Amino acid sequence: MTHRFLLEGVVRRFRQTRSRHKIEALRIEQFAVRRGEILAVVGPNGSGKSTLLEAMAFLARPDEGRVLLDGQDVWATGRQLAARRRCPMLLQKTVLFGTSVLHNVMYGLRVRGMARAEARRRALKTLAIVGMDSLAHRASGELSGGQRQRISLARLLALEPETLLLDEPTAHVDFVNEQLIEEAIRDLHRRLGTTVILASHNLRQAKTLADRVITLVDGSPIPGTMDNLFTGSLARDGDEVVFRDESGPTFRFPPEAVRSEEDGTLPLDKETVQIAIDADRLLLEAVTDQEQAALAGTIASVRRRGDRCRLRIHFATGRGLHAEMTRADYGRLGLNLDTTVAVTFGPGAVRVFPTGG
Amino acid sequence: MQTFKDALENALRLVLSLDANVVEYAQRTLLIALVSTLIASLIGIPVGMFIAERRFPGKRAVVTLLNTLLAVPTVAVGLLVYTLLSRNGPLGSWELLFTVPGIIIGEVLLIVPIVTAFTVTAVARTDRDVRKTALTLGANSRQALWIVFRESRFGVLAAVIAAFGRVVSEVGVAMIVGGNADEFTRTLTTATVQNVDMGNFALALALGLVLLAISLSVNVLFQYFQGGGHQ
Repeated sequence: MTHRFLLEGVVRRFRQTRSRHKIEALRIEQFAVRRGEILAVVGPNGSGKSTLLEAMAFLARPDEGRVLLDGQDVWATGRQLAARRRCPMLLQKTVLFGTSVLHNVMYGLRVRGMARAEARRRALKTLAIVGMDSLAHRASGELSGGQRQRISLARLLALEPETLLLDEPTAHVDFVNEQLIEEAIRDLHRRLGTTVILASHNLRQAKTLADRVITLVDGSPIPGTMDNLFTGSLARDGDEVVFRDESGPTFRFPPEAVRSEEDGTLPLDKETVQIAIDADRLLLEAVTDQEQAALAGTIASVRRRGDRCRLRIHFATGRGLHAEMTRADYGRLGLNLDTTVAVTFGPGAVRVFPTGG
Repeated sequence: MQTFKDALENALRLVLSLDANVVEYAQRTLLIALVSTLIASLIGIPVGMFIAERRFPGKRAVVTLLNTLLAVPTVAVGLLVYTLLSRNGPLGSWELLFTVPGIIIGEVLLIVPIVTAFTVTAVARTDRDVRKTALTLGANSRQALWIVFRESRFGVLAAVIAAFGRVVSEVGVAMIVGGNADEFTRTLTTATVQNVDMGNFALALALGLVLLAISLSVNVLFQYFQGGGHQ
């Protein structure tokens, strides 16, 4: 048995506000998480990342399907509490209880029945590991956003869990706190071999921290990361593959740039397909005149994180693309804010997913 | 003006000299308020927590009904309890009309909606993610409910204090159910009304001053706990 989690036919629906109609937030045919791996789940807002994690944290029973933990169907055997205790989760919204930092970190240990003195010792040790032991006796309400997030994580680390579910663990924290949180996760994984499932908007984090990355699109997992998602139709025009977005740009791709995620053949007959353009595989070149290039736009924003740069390229049509590269490449290519760039697509840059329609 | 000044001086003298009547009415009023608030809290807090935490059909109607009951006139509650406890009423055999326990029953009916409605608000205002966070940390349902209660404790305490204040200051239930019998059921408010009727302004004013002092203390406590104990 190497799977920590196995989800089979899991469907989760939510009732819309003031409506009898239910929407489907998650639909998973089969999805496995290996024991001891760090898995990152990425995807756009509303793609079902939190719902997936909550299903694995046994917070809510799926409307259909089974969630197996180490081969056991948890809901069928009624062992949700035991399963929840094995799979603690960091929620997207940080909530610290209105007591001291120390009592917050002790909470999970105390509800498991650990004696107060032992829980206190373990909590202090954990706070020391994350470098926050000096805050042990501070009221939780006095902490900054970054400190609150780190204490939330420490609360889970103190449990020394075999599985850890993290929903956007570094959202709303600065770069320094982000690095510290990532290091704490790595350290836990190294020391205890903890299986970590991480939902993140942060693609750099997903790529650097995780052994494996999957993307959720409309509640279903797809292997790999995706930065630029578009919905539209595909057609062939001579050697090129042409994609027409429902509301924006038309892209023309060389055949080697496009790969199908279904069975290898391009779904040219489908009315609606979804494409994902890998930000890492865009090729940019500074040009003086937009007319020189088949596809050109201007660099509208640049975000630097560590040794990486993330650019937003705007097209005249109003839509845009994200591109990622090293800071060294960014400098070497002579790029800057407002630079006009020609955009071409490297091999395998475009992945095509048929959607339900 | 001179009459008011004389009455005020006499009232202060009565209060400071711990006049036997003033002390007796104040003690009875506080006893009724404490016992009825305790009973109402034992009913209203769990019910309020249940309503706030659970989803069930008709929840919105229940909350609307509770909010409506907040504004029920005290004389209406008094009349209802009088009907129930009167000799020919369904609970007439208990012989509680014109007794302190009878007043307490009326006050409990009056303030249970206050404790319940304010508890619902306090618990609902407490972050819903508190419960979820507790569950993710391994709490069972009972432990999660307890932490939600702990996190909303200041709001719940404010509900209890508001209910206590309502009992101390109301006159309808105490007058109708208690009958304002001297040495038995007379409270600060009913005694004030009686002494105004009799033209005994000094004693009425003295009783009013004690009521004002109690109300002020209750309000200060209410504000303190509504602000999460920080103000």
